[in-house]
Amino acid sequence: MSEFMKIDVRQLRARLLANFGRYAAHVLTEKSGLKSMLLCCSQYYADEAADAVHDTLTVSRQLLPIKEVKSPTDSDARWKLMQWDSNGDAVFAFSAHCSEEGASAYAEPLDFDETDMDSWEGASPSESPLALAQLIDGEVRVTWIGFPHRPWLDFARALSNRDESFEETPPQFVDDPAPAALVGDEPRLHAQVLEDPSSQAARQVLCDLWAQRGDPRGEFGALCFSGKRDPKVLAQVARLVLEHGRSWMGPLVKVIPLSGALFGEGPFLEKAVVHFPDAKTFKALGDDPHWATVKSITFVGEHGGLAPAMQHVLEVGPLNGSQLAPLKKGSWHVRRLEVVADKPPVIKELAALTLPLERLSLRGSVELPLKPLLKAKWLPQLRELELWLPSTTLDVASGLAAALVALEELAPEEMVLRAGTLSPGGRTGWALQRNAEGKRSLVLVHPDERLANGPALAKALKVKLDDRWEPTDDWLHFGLGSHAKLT
Amino acid sequence: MPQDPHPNPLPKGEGDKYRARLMVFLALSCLQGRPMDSALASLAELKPDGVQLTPGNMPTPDFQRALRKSKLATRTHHGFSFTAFRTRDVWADDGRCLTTSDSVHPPASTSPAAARYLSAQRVLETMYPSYALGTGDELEQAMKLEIPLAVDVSHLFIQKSQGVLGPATLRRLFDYEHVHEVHVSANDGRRDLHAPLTTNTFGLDWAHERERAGVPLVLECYFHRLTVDQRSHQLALARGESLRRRTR
Repeated sequence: MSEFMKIDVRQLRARLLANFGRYAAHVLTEKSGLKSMLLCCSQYYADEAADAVHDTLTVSRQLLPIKEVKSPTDSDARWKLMQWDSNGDAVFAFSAHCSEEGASAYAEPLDFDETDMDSWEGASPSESPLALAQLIDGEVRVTWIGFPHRPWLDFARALSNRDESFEETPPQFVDDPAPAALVGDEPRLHAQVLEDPSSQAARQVLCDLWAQRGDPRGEFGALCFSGKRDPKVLAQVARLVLEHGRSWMGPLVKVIPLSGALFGEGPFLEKAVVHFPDAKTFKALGDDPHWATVKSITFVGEHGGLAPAMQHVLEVGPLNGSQLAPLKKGSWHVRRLEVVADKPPVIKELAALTLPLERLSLRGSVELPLKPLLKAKWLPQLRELELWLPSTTLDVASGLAAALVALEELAPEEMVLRAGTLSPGGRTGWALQRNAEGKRSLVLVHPDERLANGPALAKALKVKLDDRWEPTDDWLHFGLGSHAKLT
Repeated sequence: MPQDPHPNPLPKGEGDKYRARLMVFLALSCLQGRPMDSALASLAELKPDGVQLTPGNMPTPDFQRALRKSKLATRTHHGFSFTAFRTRDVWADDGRCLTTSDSVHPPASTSPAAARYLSAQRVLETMYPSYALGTGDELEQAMKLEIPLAVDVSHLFIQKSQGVLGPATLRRLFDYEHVHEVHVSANDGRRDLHAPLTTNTFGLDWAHERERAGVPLVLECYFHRLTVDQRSHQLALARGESLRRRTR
């Protein structure tokens, strides 16, 4: 089998993102005055399921590309540096990160203009950001902001059945590596880490043992605990995660997409996007001990939920009504919870929980009866309350204003309130916020869509646009299939 | 020359089994991009008469069982496969059709198969420029040869908007005897948008006539952004239910 026919999705992705970084460095210079570039992707469909994943680049003179300017026309440099093959590598690398709504086919009109980019396959109704490049202190920093909107496509062999072809050999896909072995005293120490994930001692001893025998986990652990964060260290950590990260998750690799893992305090899973493909897989893996080190879980898909092994989680969601049940028993430490509150009984269930909540995010509608939450024991300690309206909300400005009013009826004055709409991909973008001092503004929660609609929305709401945004985690530049965080 | 793994006789009386009932199918491509079982579940809850199995959804292990359990009638289209997103090669260069789907797209007009595809004797879909059967002249040729057709009214709208389909040919097509399927969706005359129907969608009235005469009608609008109520309304429009209620 020739190398050409072997597809390693993680390496493809890393290469394309590195290319984006190089192109961004070419465009974002003091001379050009451009300070940020946003890379988005969008899925193209046709009736015949001919597919493509297109890239869109927008640039701005601001560090956040809210006010877009015309991109410099150096298409040669773009092709040469980006090397984005919409019909090839990009499909394997980023299909999972496209919203499911796609662009559609143009009939070739009689006045077809080859130079008109919009003529090619139409404009997508929904573009999904992948990465943001910013020129900061003379250097270009790339932050991964992609999200697997279609997580079932974000696994090593997910697209291996893309084509049934009678006349060609199908491509081969490079699978995840086998789980990294534990030898000698390591199983005992590993078990200690899982039993008491807050203890640093067991982690560090284990990392030392790994380092002694040349296991990459040792090097990764040493870098984590070293406190150094220079570009050389970050690059080395990125390389280790890219090459080995999938082997550090045990059986959870089956339910955590390639771009859904973050490691912390050594090569231990700390934050995960989780996709259970069916109830059977949840039954098999929901209670796996490897969940013990995970502090943050984002579920994507219909199947999911909490199990006792996840009891150390601090941030979790979205959960529907029936998935709240495990929180009634045992000792949970959840501080940030996201709930699909589509029916009044869910609100009552929520109110009955005893949790050390600091932030509650509700996915629901303005008509949601929130008054039962006034009886919740966790309400006095809650600092942030959010309501996210459906992506089908037609009049967004009115919807957000009404949602904030609904929250204000419930919340004490010093609580931070936010109202937003879910993007088609389910994640969040701009939100109308009332801060602890009672001031309203439009804030950016996460750049999940192109940001240009912010100013018009702020104007419609008659509030100031707050364009401050920092990634909340120390995501390494280049999403490499798994990310790493340094303590 | 590789052996043709899928010999392709024209299924005899293919449309006959449906003529006893009025049938509106939802295309799986209404939720293109989703896993097959998830797409089927969402479409089945709308209670169509059947599902047209189209390429572009990720195969799932128990899909065939779920399909049987749904008791929905099924038709297959173009490069549908139970085991892949799509069958990539539907047409061989020599004009043979490599699948046995109930209806297929003709090949691209620049493809080698475009010279000989009419001899494959398949139910062929009316297309738009850049495909065979994408102009009025080609439709006339197909009707002369009595080729069985799947008439996609949204594609005809593109042809009409592009100025390649005249009113006389359109009339003959609407009177054509050998229509085995009708596909409906909306667009802007330039792009195959698969936009939701309205009461004024081009060709919808004719589609209802054919459906009442027993020809299966396939609704293929993209449903991703629509609520359940909006999707139900689309199905009602495809069935002509909204119109019938108004005329009472």
